[in-house]
Amino acid sequence: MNSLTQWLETPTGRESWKYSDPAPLTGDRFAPFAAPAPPAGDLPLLPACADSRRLVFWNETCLADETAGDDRSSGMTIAALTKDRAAPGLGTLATDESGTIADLNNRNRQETLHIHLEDGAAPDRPLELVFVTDDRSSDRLVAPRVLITAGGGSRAVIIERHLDLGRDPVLNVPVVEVLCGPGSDITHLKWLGNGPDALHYGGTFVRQDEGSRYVSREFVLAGHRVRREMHLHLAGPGASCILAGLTLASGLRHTDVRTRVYHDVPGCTTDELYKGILIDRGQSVFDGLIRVAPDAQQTGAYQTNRNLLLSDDAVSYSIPRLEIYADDVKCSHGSTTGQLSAEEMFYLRSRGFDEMMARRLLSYAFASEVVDQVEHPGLREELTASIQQILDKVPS
Amino acid sequence: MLKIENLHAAVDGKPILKGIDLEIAPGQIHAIMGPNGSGKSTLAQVLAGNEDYEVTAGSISYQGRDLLELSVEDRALAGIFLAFQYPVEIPGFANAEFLRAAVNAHRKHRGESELDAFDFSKFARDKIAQLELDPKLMTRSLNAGFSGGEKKRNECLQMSLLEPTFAILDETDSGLDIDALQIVARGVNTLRGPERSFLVITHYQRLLDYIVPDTVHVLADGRIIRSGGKELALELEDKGYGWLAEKAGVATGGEDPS
Repeated sequence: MNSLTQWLETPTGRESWKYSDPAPLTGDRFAPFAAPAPPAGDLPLLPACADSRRLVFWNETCLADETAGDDRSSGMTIAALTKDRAAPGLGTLATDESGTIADLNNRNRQETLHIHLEDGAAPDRPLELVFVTDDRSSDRLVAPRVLITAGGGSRAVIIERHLDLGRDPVLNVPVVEVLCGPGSDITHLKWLGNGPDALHYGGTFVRQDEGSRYVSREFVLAGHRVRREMHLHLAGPGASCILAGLTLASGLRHTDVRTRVYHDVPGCTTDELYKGILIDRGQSVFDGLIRVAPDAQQTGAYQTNRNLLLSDDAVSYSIPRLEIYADDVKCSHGSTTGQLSAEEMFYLRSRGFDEMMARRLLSYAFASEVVDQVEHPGLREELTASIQQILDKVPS
Repeated sequence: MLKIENLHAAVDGKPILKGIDLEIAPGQIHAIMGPNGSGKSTLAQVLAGNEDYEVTAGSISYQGRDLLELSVEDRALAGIFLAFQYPVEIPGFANAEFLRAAVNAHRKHRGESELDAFDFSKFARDKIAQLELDPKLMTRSLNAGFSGGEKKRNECLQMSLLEPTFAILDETDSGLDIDALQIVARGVNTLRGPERSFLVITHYQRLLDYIVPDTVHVLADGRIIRSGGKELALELEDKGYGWLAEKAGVATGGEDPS
């Protein structure tokens, strides 16, 4: 018996998995690696941003950091912590008791990657973390763990990629904890390019101190079953976050995005936009909650979920929620789910685009609202190409 | 160029057009005026091929072809252009990309090479300047957050880029101030030529001071109740639609032009 199993037996626990199947998390099919499984022979060509410092984790083994260069002066230190070594902050957000995705990671993680930004640090290159699994990950449980501690006034761009190259099911349960110090500015870009049979149940846990800014842009473009959780505490006055995401689910894929944002103190803002494009018999779940505590006056919190259904068999569940216990706040939430607008289709066709082209262009446009905001130009182009490739295959 | 015979059309089973006959020769500009609800926009939508409008009787021949057999996009590629009364906003689709893709769809259809971003920008520059469009609008999303006048001028820009054979302007003048009106009219007049025809739908005689029509038609209750020269527009401005409708024995709905 473990805490997630116990939690799933409670009404709240069952409710939180109403639309997604937690079975892979509680069963015993997937086992951690018994021994390191680094790549055999030459590495395949991995997608990468040209200007980034890049760390590759292959079946949980960290490969040599060939892009380290001379970053010592940047104020960023990277360390691998063994399981028995603690770091200040580690496990304080992604706790076992929280009834979240963290549980399986807490029990199965091997090393923790600790990224520390000193006060005022501002590395000029993004840090790119690439988590790769291959055929030897078949039926394995892979539990990468990252802790980011951002000192006061520091700023950085972190790119997190997940890539499954193997053909068999693998269970990814990554957890990233981010502690944003006062006035820090962290941009966290996440790309899930999981394999067609891969399972991914991962999450990000964030705490923001006074005046900090945290930006998350998450792209779920593949994977058989994906659940992504975001747990974010605005713990210092004047902190702000932008949470954005785009999900594409085709075939029989199922994606589930869950966000929990807690406004604990006054004067913080949340700007949340999640979009989903559902193709074939793809399914998506969006369950977002913003909770504004009684003391959190002058809160600005906006939550939007939009879903585009490109087939009659696609399904989208949307549960946007605001819980407001303060009285001097500006909050809104909204959710729309629908097919391509007939009016927009007619407009484009009247300009000479055939029906298939018009559908594609409108689908790209729908995705662009999230993709165009990606701060890193190289990654933005790569994402755009990848999304267009998926949408180009949509049957009309 | 275009011959409409006994055209009947319905929306959601409700008859709107009740027998339109209209013939437009190459090089001509025809204006259609009429009260709200008379079917002016329906006629525009039917000509452009909007499938929400059901043609229940009659025929439309365009350059000798049966227009009703053609899909929306095939009509566009055959040279029919509708400047929308309410241009659609598409966030996330950059205006310049939209314009270039539209031009390239036409070029491809004609067997010409597609324009890259650089060549397109050269091709479009003068036309953008002529319509006095802020070049910043090119990098913005299509019509998103454009003012009413900017949307209408963007429609005219599309018209001048696509160089249609038969263009329909559906209340392109509504919401334009006098300066913008003149700019739009100049755009139309530049395109005017012996092989190009226009159907200009408007509420106001004002536009026809700048785009001088060969013929003016008055549409009421789904029928053309009067046709005449450009002086008919002046007479309408003076007397309203009521006297014509009474003569023709149809209701005008009593709505004010808006």
